[in-house]
Amino acid sequence: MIKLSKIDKYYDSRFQRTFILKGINLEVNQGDFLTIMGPSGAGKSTLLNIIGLLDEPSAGEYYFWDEPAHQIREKQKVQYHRTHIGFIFQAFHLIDELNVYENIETPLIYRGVKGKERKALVADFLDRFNIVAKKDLFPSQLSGGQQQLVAIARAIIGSPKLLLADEPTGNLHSEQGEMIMKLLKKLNDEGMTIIQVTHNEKFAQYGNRIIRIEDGLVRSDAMNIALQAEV
Amino acid sequence: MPMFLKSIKIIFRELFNNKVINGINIFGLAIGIAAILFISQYIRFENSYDSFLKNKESIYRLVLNRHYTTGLDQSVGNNYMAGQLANDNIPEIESFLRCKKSTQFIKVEDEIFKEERVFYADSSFFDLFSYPVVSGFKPEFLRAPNVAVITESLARKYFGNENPVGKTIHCVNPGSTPIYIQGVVKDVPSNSHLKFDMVISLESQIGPSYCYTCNNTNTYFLLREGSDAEEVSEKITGVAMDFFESEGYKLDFKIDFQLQKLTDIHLRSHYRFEHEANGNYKYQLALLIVALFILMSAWLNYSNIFKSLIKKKIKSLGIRKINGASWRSFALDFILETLIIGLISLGLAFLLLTLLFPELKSYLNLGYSSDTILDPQVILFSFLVIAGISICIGTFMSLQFLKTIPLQLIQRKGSVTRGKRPRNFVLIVQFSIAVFLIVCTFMAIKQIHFMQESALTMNIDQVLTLKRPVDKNYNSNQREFEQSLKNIPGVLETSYSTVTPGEKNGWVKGGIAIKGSDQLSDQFFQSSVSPGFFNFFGVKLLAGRLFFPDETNWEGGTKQIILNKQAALALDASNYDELLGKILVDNDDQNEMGEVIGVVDGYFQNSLDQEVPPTIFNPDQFGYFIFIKFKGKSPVELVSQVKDQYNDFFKDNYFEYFFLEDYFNKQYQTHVQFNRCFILFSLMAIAISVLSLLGVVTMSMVERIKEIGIRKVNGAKISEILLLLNKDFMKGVVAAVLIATPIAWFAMNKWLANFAFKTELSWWVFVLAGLVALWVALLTVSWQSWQAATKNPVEALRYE
Ligand SMILES: Nc1ncnc2c1ncn2[C@@H]1O[C@H](COP(=O)(O)OP(=O)(O)OP(=O)(O)O)[C@@H](O)[C@H]1O
Ligand SMILES: [Mg+2]
Repeated sequence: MIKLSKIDKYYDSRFQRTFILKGINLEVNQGDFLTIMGPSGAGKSTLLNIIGLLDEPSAGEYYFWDEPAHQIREKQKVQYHRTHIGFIFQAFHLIDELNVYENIETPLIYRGVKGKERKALVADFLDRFNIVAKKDLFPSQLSGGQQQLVAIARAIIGSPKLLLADEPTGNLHSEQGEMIMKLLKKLNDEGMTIIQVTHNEKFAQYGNRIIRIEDGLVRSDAMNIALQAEV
Repeated sequence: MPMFLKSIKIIFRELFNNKVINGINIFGLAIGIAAILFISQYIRFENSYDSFLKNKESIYRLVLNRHYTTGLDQSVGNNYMAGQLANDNIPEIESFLRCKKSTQFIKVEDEIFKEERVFYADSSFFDLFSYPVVSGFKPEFLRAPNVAVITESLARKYFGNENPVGKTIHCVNPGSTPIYIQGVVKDVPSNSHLKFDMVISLESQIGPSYCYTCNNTNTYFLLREGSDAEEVSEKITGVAMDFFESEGYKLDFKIDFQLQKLTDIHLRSHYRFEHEANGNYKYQLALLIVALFILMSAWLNYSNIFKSLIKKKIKSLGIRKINGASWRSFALDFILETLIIGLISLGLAFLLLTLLFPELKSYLNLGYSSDTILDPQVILFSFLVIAGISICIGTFMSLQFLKTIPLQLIQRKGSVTRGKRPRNFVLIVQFSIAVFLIVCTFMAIKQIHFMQESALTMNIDQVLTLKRPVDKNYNSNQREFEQSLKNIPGVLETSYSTVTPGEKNGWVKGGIAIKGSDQLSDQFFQSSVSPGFFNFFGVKLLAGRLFFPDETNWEGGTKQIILNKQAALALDASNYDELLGKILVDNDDQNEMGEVIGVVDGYFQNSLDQEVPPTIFNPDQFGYFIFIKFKGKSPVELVSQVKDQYNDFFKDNYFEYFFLEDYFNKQYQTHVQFNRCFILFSLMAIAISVLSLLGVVTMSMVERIKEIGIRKVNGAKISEILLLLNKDFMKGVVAAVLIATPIAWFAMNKWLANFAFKTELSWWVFVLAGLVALWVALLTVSWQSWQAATKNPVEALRYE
């Protein structure tokens, strides 16, 4: 379903070319829960951006839903963003001009969900994430963790087929983090493909497959034995 | 809630969240829109002159060109013959009309009214000019002597609600002629070059003269369809030449005739014998350019703010895109936002204009009402323009976002400094415009002051002027009247002349020579003045002597004349003394005009924007205008005392008076109005510049608030921070002054070339304008930066 072969990503500065990713090969299947780990600056976020069609690789081939990514037209990309991809950003990236309620609602509007249904869905998520009281506040009025919760809610409310989660629990209390991970696991069980980035070994284990990136290369790629044993 | 309602809700919320910036934006735009609306209305009105007349395309006015060696004299005053001759001999001419403007005293029952807009005209008047008739039988109009047609308001003034047709009124001069009223027409619209209240048949004037030098009648022609005006002009010249030849007239200079389009009269005609002071298309052009400048200034302000707001929003636009926002939804948002801001500004502009219209109308002496501004067509048009612009901006912006990779949108945040340069550029442009306009305003004020005060060597303040009846029988009364005036306390001196300063002198004579020389001069003006006239007005004597008290050039007088400097120069005198004792003769009939006894300088018949023409002064014992110099007395009291005397000596005559200085300065009306426009526009330009500066400062304070906080935490003093914050902006304003100065210098040089008497382009005007701009800018910036600099640093740091 998702296939990267020999993906490079580099930035050219005046005198030299800096490689962030170098020859990444990776395949992700439907229903996978993939965890990406690696030191800071390894290129994890960069990789996620490429997978999510937000950025383009400098070289190599990338297939999204078995379609060559460089051939996907702008219009089709918008469609994919509407229906296929959910994003949780490391830096949250909430819309400053919209309040909590409206932020969560955004993907539903673009997806064309009708008003009533939309209301019910948003209310459900506000409730589930325990932020009903905050629904009229603006991002700048929230704590870091609260912003992260809103970002998560926004990413999954449209039930995308592929969820890209960049350190979804970085700013959360461990108990809350656990709750989120369980939620992701549940969504995965229901069929959502998830790719998450995390520094937390424990949360990494929720994935059924863990890859480690270092110096732009995939250093290890292993099925999560522990989890499989558990199952 | 439908999508666009939601968008509107969010747009308004954002407007409120950035109140200051958006307020500045909207207010600036409103001023710009108001300026352009106002000017375009003004220009539309000025260009609409006479456009309501049905025959406007085929009516022409006859212009007489006299080619002197010193230059061209153009006049729309023609003799009685010209029109008739042309009409009889040239097939392209369908009909013609002669008319003549005059001021009359009209007696209705026992009351006397002064009417300044009376025309004597041929019966073709209402055929050529399609003024709508209210009552009366039009085919009969003006076909007999002593009949008149009046306007509705005059009818109301004279007779209230009674039907005026068939009633009789009287022209006081000459000899209380009865005038029969034939009909009533609608009031003349204010955009007519020929504004009348009453038209009397031309036949009423006894003995229309056939002399070809008596050029005081306006002549109009109605040409047949398809005729070429140029060709007809040539034919008219030809016909006139043939006539002169057959009559044996000799001309000392070349003349020709020219046809002038009716619709050109208001804006492009400044000849002698105009009915009223016409507009000037050059001034309109200047105003239009200025209005465009102001609009540009407002637009720069808008785009500046727009850019900075967009920069803030780029991230959220990116996120929206990642969430699947389509190009269309972006476009809709952008269009709605631009449209909302545009419409609020437009509404505000209309509000400002209607609220200020009464002031503007009287301040700028506008001829139209506020209906012109609130014309639905205009409103619709401005709405469409704004909608069009919004759609363009919206489409353009959303296409921009379509092209960018969403990640770039989200990550672009860091590059704040990039926007600084264009912002300063905008400020410099705006302040340059403001400084330019301020310089223009100051210069215009200076020039007008120069003409009215410094260069006017003639003493005309504290002079009450009266008009006595023209009738010769009153001559003896005049002397006694003047005697009696001297008994009024506060009256210092009296004098008189046939034509008052400020009035156009119509007594022109060509072909004058020094006796014994065959060199003919060009056109000279003549006027009859009291012997004490030059002392009365403080006119300087350059050579010879002034008149003796009992001298006169009439009724067997001794014939002495005084020339002004210009006349002496026109006679090629190398020094003034050599002219003394010489005798001037009129080449037409070899009549001696008089012996030159003196040369004077510093008498101004007309405004100082024109050259002083060569003039010959004749001494006279009587004159129609009586001047009374007074001192230390209330003008109101003086007028009432003089009026009592007047009624004793000139029984049953209308007491007409004015203060000479006011009357003389009326000639500067167009300049004063133009100057007022400039003051208005300068204020607008300053307002926009200040708003823009305020906007830029506010935005940059928000960006730098963290920097300020950190500097303060590290021990910077408030004064140091103020200096830091103000420095950049002040540099911009100084640059603006440097840019505007040479441009303004150039423009003002050009403008001053229009005046015969010009003030200097002093350096201090530029310095003053620069100081005004700097001072305004400093005040604006300091107000904002003071707030930023005195903020509690913790608060500032928390701002992020
Ligand atoms: N626009 C850019 N220009 C130059 N270098 C960039 C750019 N964007 C990212 N990088 C570099 O790419 C490298 C990888 O960045 P990336 O955000 O993918 O790291 P990461 O693995 O997500 O790290 P972290 O765990 O800290 O989030 C970093 O060294 C970063 O400096
Ligand atoms: Mg990262």
